Amino acid sequence: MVRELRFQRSRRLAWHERDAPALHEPTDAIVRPFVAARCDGDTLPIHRPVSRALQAGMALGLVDPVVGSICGKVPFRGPFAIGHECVAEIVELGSQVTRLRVGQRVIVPWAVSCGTCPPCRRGLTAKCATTTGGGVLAAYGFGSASGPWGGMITDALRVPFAEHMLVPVPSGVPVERVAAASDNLADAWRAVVPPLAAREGGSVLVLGGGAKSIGLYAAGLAAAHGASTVDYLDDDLGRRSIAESFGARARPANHEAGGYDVVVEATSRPAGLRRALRALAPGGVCTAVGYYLATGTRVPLMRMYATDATLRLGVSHSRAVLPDLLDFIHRTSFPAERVTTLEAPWDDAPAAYAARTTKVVLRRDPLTPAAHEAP
Amino acid sequence: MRELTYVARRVVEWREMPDPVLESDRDAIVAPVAATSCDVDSAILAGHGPIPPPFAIGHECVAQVVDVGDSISHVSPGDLVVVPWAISCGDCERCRAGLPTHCTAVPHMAMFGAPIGGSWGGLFSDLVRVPWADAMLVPLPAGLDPIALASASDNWSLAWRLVAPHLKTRPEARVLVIARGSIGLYVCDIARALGAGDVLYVDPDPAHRKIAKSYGARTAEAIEPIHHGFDLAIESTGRVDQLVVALRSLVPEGFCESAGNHFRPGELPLLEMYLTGVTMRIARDNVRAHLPDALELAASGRVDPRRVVSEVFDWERLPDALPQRHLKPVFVRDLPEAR
Repeated sequence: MVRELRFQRSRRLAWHERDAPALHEPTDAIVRPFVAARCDGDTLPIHRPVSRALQAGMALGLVDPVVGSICGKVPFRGPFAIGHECVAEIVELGSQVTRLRVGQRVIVPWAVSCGTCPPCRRGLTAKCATTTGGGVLAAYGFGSASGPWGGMITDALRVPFAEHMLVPVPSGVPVERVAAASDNLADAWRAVVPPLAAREGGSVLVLGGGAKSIGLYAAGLAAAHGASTVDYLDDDLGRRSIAESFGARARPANHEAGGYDVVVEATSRPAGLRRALRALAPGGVCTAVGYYLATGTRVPLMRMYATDATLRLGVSHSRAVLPDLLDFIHRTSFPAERVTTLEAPWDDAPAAYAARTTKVVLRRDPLTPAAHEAP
Repeated sequence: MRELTYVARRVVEWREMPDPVLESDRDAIVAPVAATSCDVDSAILAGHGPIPPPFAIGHECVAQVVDVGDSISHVSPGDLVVVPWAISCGDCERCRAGLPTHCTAVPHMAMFGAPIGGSWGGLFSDLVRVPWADAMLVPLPAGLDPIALASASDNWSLAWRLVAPHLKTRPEARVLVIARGSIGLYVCDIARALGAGDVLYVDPDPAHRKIAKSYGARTAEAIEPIHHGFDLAIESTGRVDQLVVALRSLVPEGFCESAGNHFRPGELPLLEMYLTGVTMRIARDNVRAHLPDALELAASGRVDPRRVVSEVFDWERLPDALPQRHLKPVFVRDLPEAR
């Protein structure tokens, strides 16, 4: 038997015992997560009783019915195994997995992908044709509507297509630094690094506070990738000081801001999206890292037309960016762990995962000592 | 000289103006020889434009250079040139970044044919002063038909930008075109020439669809969203409901290019876009930045923009013919012999 953290209902998480997963395919691996982080999106069902509200909203047409295709007809109804950001150690490998070894420390991407289908080959690993079947997502930690994969806050996790999925943590990189590489850190990467590569020395605005950790990772990554200006707006003093430690200028949320080449919308609110689009410089790009559940959000189309605006919406394809992201962290020692505001012992997960704080990271000792890190 | 002036819904008239003169050694004076209406002009003439008349109209033409300032070296009197719709200096940071439509040397939106960002006149005038002429004017490659490429100032080059860069990174892309005027038809032509895997052209106008078909596109009067149907969706209707159809027809991580002119904020299906993974760009076109690349395609002979030209009128017919509903009327005078 193994233990997994389950979301029961709003504000209520609990350990649950279940059978240990076994290798199904010779390309599978079984891994044991020992560092796990809370994705910003997981705070939605935990902190607000959204299940019934979303269900009613879908029925009334106020909430986009597509929510149901991810979370089921009754979104976020517990119990389901939660958690989709972790660093794990490999405990068992299928007979066809030759490029990994037991004891190795790896990042497990939040979305399950095969690595060989057309979307995967284009780097769209969260849209893997093999694993999503006809559904929208195949992922850890979202309940059965996104597949049988379970959550990552568990003692044993089955990972299919292991040689493709699992990305070794480079030797010398502290595991707490890459606790969120499975999702939020990779999400921040795609929001600022490619847009800045196309706009060298561009200015960056981050509207933070909704997708709390992504906004901070984005501010830090932007500063570390040569942005001429990084402005981070948020009313939370603690997050503002983290942003400043990365080299961003941090201001209250209502600070006047405009004329940015790259904008990261991380308030997850329609008003934030409108503001983000209005803050673009000509030819600028806005990536909205949150999602907007309501139908009928009005977007300033004429303003976008006048400024030549590009808006990007979508989940992160973290597996595709992990090699570049991990290499960058290895080379620069980018201190992503500064975003972590609560580090808690693994056993305290039921309480810690529900904490009202920016970024929760759970830790326990790995089974294998650090000498076995990837070379 | 005469300046064609939009004075009221479906009414334009000649107004006498002093001949423009060189105001700087970097100016040129040009005489439009083949000028046409932009798809937005059709909306203006129908009384749907945001700016009250009167103003000089027209921002798409091939012109002949009449006079140049002392420091002009790229063009000479007698040359046939494309005149980009937006005024740009070619030298500021924005111009050098490929954003000439956002040139900082002139007020925001400075353009021919609408009095926003200053008064630069219209390209349905007998003579036009072109500032920063070395930077702005692009010679029409020898052998190209000025009538076919009168729209290179804006709509035709815009169509190139909407589709050509995408086909370079995604060869054989499936392309959805939801349009109302010339832009979508040019897109069909360019998409076919550059190897699109499939083109579906959506437009209620049967005459437009016939042209699209001649470019090898499938056509439809109207569609419901086609789930995960297209890699690239191009919307040029000015209608939010059609933009939504385009967005909802994309494959995961598809791209939607919009030619804009939605004059009000619009409701977009943001959650569906998030789950699909969508990039959407809405832009006034930076024609001058890619005009040489677009003209290179035209010079290759692989495209045939002439099919979109609905009528060729003598220049003197401008006051009566322009306000009528035509897809793409071209007004000509003093056209040089084919070179």
